[in-house]
Amino acid sequence: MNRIHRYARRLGFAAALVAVAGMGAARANGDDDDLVEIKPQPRQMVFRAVGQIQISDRNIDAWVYGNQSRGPEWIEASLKQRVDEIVRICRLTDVQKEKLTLAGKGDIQHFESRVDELRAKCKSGKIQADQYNQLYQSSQPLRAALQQGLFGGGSLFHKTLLTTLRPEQTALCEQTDRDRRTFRYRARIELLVAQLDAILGLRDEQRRQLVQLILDKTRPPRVFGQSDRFLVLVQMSHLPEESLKSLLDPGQWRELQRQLANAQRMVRVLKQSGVVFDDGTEPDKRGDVNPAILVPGNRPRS
Amino acid sequence: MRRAHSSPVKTDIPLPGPTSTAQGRGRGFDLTACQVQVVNICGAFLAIVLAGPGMLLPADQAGPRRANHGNEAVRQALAAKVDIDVLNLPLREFVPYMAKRLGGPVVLGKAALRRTEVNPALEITASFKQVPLGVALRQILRPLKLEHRVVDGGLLIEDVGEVLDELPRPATQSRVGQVALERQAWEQVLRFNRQKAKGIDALVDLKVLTPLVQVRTLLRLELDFVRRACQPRPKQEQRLQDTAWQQVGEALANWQTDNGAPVPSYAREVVQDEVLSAVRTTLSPAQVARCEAEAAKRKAFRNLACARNLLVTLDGELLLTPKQREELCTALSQNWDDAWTVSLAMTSTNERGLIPAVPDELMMPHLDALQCLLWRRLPKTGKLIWRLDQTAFLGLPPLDADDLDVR
Repeated sequence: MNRIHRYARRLGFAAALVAVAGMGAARANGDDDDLVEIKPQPRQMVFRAVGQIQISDRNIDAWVYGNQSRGPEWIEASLKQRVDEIVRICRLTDVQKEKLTLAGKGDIQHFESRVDELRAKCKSGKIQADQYNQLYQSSQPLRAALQQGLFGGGSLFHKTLLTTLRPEQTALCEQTDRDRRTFRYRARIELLVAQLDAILGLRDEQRRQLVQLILDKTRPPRVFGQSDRFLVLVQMSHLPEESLKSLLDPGQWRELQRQLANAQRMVRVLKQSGVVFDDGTEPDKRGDVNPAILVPGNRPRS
Repeated sequence: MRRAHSSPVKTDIPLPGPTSTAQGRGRGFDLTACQVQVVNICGAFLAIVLAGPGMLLPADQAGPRRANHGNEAVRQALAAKVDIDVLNLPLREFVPYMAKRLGGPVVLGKAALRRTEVNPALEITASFKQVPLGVALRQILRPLKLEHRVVDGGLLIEDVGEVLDELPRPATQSRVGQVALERQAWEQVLRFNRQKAKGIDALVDLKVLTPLVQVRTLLRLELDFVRRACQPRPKQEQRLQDTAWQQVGEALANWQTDNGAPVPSYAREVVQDEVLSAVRTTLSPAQVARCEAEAAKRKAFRNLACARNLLVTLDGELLLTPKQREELCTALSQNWDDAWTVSLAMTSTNERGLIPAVPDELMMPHLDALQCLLWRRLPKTGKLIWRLDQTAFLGLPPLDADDLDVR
């Protein structure tokens, strides 16, 4: 039944794409009625003879979607949520909304076709353990794509967004994005200060001054990720010594120096990971570190 | 030397109600082998334990894992922070009151009362604000030479035995104990470093470290925090240190887990509570007020930081509006559960941070219909067990060489 729905959706998408190309305004299937609750079902893995495995559709779902609740319906709900937000912020016309929705459905379709390819590979009946591992490995890029979001940079949705919005609408979208990034960067800084607080025992006033100093004097990364903490610490190590030292007691400053020196070890990793600031510059080289951080005894631990 | 306690003891509890008593002779018995009835009378729970001599089995003979779940629930209840306010409540009524607060049976050993010569009619007056129930109970029972123990999913109140009949250890002795622990820690470190230098794949066996040694860094940092907040005089500081070491040691001494870990993963909270408790008994009211205010602000800041970072994760899924972020930030930080903190601090910068099991009632009033649907389908994490150094320092441990190796 699901397969029939998928094919039906595929046909609907193709028809709608043609309609849009012809300046039509075909309605896409984006109703809330599609959003039916999914009941989690137990995973099923059938073991046949010794060393032979048969992979079921549920195994594929578990590999790709991780959790049953993040299935195709969840992705469609995410798309609807994303389109609704842009409609709300940019006051899109119906045609613009339609184009975006179709583009998003195209991304979903593309993703599902990749999942179907994986399913087809798994239909070959009983397989050996090494084949099982290969198939599992080939499912991981799909899972990563889903986790990173199907509608981000490089997606059909994103490209359509760039070409569909008028300049004033684009400005509104960018403003929303900036607000979101500002909130996110502040959150990361506050979490770092809370973590530092656990080892420095800061007073309330010190915490607030430290947050403000970091907010004022450092820059957010272009893309947030696992290295956020180190990126902030590395930038802190470049601040004038007095600006940090004046906020802290001698004991606190000593421990912070150790932490900043330790963070320097991460600069190379940050650069290798392609971490850049929002203006496109890379984290500074080790030679640029404030010499006060690298006083004898505060060398980074190996 | 034993003496009757006739003066009112500082404790608390407002509910009237009968007492639950049972004879729990000996160091442990299996409550599950007895008939336990919990009756609700006049708003208070009465735990009645009907036990014959043959029904009381030593704890080690009871079903091995039978009461583990119950014990864990009781320990969690004891660790939960509560407000307690009682005025002149007789001890016999205090017990059912505790049973209600605990959500499980509380048994007061009659023999213990006999041995400590405590009258069940003794009136208790106490007031605690946001203090773990177990800590409050210990503070209440200690002057009576009583203590509580978790036994088979319930709480047994009994006398502390002969040890506390002795005079309190003088400060010098306490200091000697502290120094011995420090030395023991140093020896561990040196041995560990020597082995590391030889290239031996050495691991410090955490089980051989005493709990107090394990939380030494944590305790030292917390005392530093108090020092900055209150600026105690040298004499006060010495007393504070002695009291804090002793109280933390006592709080962790009887800790046991199924996996043999000598220290609970929430040792940070235990240390902070015990140090604050030591502050209350050793420093002036003005200093106590300063310390409490700083501790409250620290907690508020941490909760707010955690709430904001959770919202960053959720924002990626639910696309919240600025107004929603603001409202949810307030709601979450004000109702933040400490159990969510470490998982969030450890994973929030990951591609998909772990989302704690925040109650729907807290989230859904601020979300629209589609967001509610997405929120309900998001996978949430249950209770996770993290290592002590992760929970203690929120994933950013101090880089002091000695302490790092001890850990």
